[in-house]
Amino acid sequence: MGTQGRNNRFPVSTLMRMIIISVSVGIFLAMICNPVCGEEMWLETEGESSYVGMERMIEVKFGEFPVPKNAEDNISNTLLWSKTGSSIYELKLKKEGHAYIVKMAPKSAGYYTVAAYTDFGIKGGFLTCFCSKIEVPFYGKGGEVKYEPKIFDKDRIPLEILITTESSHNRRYTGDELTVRVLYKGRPLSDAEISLVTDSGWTKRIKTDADGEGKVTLLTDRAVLLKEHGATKRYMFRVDYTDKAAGVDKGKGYQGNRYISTLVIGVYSSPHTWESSKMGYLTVLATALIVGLGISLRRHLRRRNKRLISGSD
Amino acid sequence: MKRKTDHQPDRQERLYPEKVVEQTRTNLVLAARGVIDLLRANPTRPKGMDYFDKVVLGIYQEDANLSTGKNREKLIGTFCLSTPEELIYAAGAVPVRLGAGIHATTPMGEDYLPVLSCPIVKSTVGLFHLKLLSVYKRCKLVIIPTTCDWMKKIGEILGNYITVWTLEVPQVKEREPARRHWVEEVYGLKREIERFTGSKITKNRLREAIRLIQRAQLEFRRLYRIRMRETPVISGSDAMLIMNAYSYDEVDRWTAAMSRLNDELEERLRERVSVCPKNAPRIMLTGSPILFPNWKLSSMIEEAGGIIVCDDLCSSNRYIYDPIAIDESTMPDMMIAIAERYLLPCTCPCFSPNNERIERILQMVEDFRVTGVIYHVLRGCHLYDFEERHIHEILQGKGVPQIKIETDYSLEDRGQVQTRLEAFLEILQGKESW
Amino acid sequence: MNVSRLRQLIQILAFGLLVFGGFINVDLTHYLPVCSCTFNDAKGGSCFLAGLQCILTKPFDQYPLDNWWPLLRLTKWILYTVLFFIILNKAWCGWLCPFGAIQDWLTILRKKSGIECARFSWLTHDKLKSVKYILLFLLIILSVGIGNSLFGLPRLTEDLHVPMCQICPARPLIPIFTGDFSQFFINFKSTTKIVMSTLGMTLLGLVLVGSFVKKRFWCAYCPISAFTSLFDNLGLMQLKKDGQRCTKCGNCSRVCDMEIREIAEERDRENIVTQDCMLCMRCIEACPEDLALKATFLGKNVFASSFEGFMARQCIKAEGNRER
Repeated sequence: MGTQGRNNRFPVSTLMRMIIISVSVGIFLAMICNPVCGEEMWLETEGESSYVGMERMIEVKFGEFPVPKNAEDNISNTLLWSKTGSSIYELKLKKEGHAYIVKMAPKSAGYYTVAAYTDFGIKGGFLTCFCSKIEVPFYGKGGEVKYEPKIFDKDRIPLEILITTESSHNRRYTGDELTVRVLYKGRPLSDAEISLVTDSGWTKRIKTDADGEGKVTLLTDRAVLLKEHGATKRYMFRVDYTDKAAGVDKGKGYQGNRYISTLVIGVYSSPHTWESSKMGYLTVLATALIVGLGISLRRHLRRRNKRLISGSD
Repeated sequence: MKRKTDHQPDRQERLYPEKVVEQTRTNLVLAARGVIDLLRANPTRPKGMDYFDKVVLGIYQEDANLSTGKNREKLIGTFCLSTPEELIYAAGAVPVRLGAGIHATTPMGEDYLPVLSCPIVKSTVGLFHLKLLSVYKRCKLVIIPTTCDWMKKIGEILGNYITVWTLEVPQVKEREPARRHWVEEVYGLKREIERFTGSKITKNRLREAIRLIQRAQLEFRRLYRIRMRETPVISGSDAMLIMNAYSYDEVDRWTAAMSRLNDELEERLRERVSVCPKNAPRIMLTGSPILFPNWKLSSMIEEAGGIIVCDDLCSSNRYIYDPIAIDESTMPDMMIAIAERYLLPCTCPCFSPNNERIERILQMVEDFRVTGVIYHVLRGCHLYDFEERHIHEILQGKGVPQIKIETDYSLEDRGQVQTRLEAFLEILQGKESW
Repeated sequence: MNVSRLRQLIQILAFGLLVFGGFINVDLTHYLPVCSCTFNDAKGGSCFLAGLQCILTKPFDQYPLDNWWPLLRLTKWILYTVLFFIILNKAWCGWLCPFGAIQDWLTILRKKSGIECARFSWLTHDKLKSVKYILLFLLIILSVGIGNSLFGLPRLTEDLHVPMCQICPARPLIPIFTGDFSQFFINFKSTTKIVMSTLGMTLLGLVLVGSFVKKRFWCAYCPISAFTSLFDNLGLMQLKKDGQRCTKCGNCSRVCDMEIREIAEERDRENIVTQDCMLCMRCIEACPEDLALKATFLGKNVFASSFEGFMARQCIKAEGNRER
């Protein structure tokens, strides 16, 4: 080998070269292609529970959760509704600066769900549309504020994620085990892949069973929480479903309908996540033991000293 | 401070011939009998007093029935009020207060002591030296508290005759180190008593001893309350005799006799039997202790027409006035209770300041409706002499007249004291009739 | 009258009512000046400090109505508490406090096992008197500092919310009686939480052992006592002393659970409810002088010391034919 010249510093055979080139091309193509996954529309709102009489602002975002991209023009065509009980109201989307927001200030209390639907036209050969849901309870005078797992509307929101577990005080806590159901056009969708993403980047993927349900546990690992994620605030459920109904839209053909549906929930840090009962008991017992031993020792020494000085007890 | 009993018979023979000793013995028996006869001469005397007469006379006539029952064999001598007697009873011994009021033995005491010393210590030292009374001879241990100067030094002399244990009483009670020191002293005393008697003071025995003495205190308070009433059913001389008898008797027998006497006195109250005329001025006696048979002053007062309704003497009323409160029945708790009871309410003028005594006197003046106070000072008792002026002023402020009688055991100044007393009592009677 | 027995009975009743009252829907308000923990779900009434700390946390400029609205709520809270307190003065502490009852039961346990009690020296006792005022001051300042910016400093972290409750030893202890062990923990959420919860657990261990060897250990450091002792002159129930009748025998301060020396030493003042006093009346029981110590309600004697009573309580009866 040493006899070959400087031109042959990296002696690679031709086969190896072919493999390397094709792999690189594949990666490049994968990067520039429109991503099949990783884009969604979701709704966000600030603050905790609202009261009747206060105005609530909900923002429509598009991008890769939790990083929004510049809102595309398609967002301005988003249709939004709020539902409480069985009544559905339309909401008006406004543009403020670069953000698309909707404001709601209901007159009576209740558990409100806000849903959004946008048509994005043909992307990557599929007619893509985005759905999103968020829950906004309003407290005060009026109706009952309690979470009820009910489908929003199968016509307005074709692909919907529904949490069927009851909530305590309308809150979800770290460590809670949730049952999530995916409904497509009103009927449970089996074998759908739900991804659960936190705004700190932790991801989990589950598949729904024959009833369209999947179980997931919100983050509990205290070590994970402490070291990597801190107090996580927002979780997003995402389902991506494509059907095989081909068709034509505005002169262009598509292979199927693609629905990307998200559900954003706020998760509160369960105090029990941070608490260690064992350490508590240990501290109490250790202190009691140390203090008790200290007192006994002091009394024993005092008695011994008395005995030494006086010769008897 | 333990000294070996150093018996020196030569000393006694050398100084005092047998004749003198016998004479002294006769004198003291006569003195004791004389006082009792004088008291018995009063026809309105309660019958229950017989028991106490016997107790006191028994000491002098050598037929005392002391420490013969209930496993109480040993006698431990005490002085003043600072020795916790509960410890002595708990160890199965009997405390005997050795302060003597005998005039006959004071000249012998003067051989050892300064001329101007307290007659009590002179008398006691003389008694020990002459070895006259068996009660004094049977005491093998005496506990001497460092209250007044005389007490402090008498221990050194008595150490020639008997084992002495000095109990250091702190003179300033308000401070915590003083109180802790006193508790340690009491513990030291407890160990000494255990060593002397050979039996251990357990908490049960201590509790029993405290209960015994509490019963005696209950009976004493009954007498105290009876004397507060309008009708004087018992004379002051008799009441003081009862308390002197307490020094020479076992506490349970004394309590039983006291209970009977109290019943009789309450009966008398109902029947309004009085020992003196109706308008007799109510006198309070305070000052240096009056020990049997030095009944000179009290007899004179009552002969002159007054009635001693209460007193602030450590030989009588102060002896078992304050009870001990048992809180928890653990040894440390009871020991602290005992120690505090014997230190804190004590009104001896050896303590400085001595506000407790002033409050007691004022309260007694109020409770007993006292018309006049007679302040008795023994010649040589500087501490009581010291406080006389202050108390005089305070009582003047309350409108109660006070007279100071300074005397000692001798009978030479009888006439003088008599005159002064009669004058004082006249003033009081005059005041009352206003 | 054996006041100690009566007090034990009333303590049991009050304990039942305050700790288990929630089961039968008893609500004696949350303005009570006793350590009945608010973390106990079945409580019949709770300590006023929890609510007080929450109110103090509110920013003074938050409410759109008036700027003095938070002040009004605060005044109302304090007023109700003081009104409750005035009825019985410090007897709340001695007769009705559940935590006090627990400590008294530990003392009974100690007495039965024959272990002697611990006492502080006078100097230590006097120095430790200021601890409860420091705790009261801290709980006020820290609570105010959470919602408002004090002296230009940034607002304190929310983790300091209800600072007294976080370190109070009653918080883990009282819910145990209703089966709730959830208050025993160390919270690792942040340094503040770790420190506060460790303090709380340590204090509980200390108080448990301390109450065993010393009577009513925690009561000397309780901030409720610090707050209410500011109003003890207004109380309808008082403890009075006649300085002349007192022989200064010292029985009263010796049996006092709180080691108050003023009962024995005070000569001139008539009213002797001190900051530590809990009106348990053991001093009156131990006093052998008639009418030297008296407990009065609205000026009338409720319980006064007497020699007969003293002897009866010491189980001594007069001998002879007559029963007294």
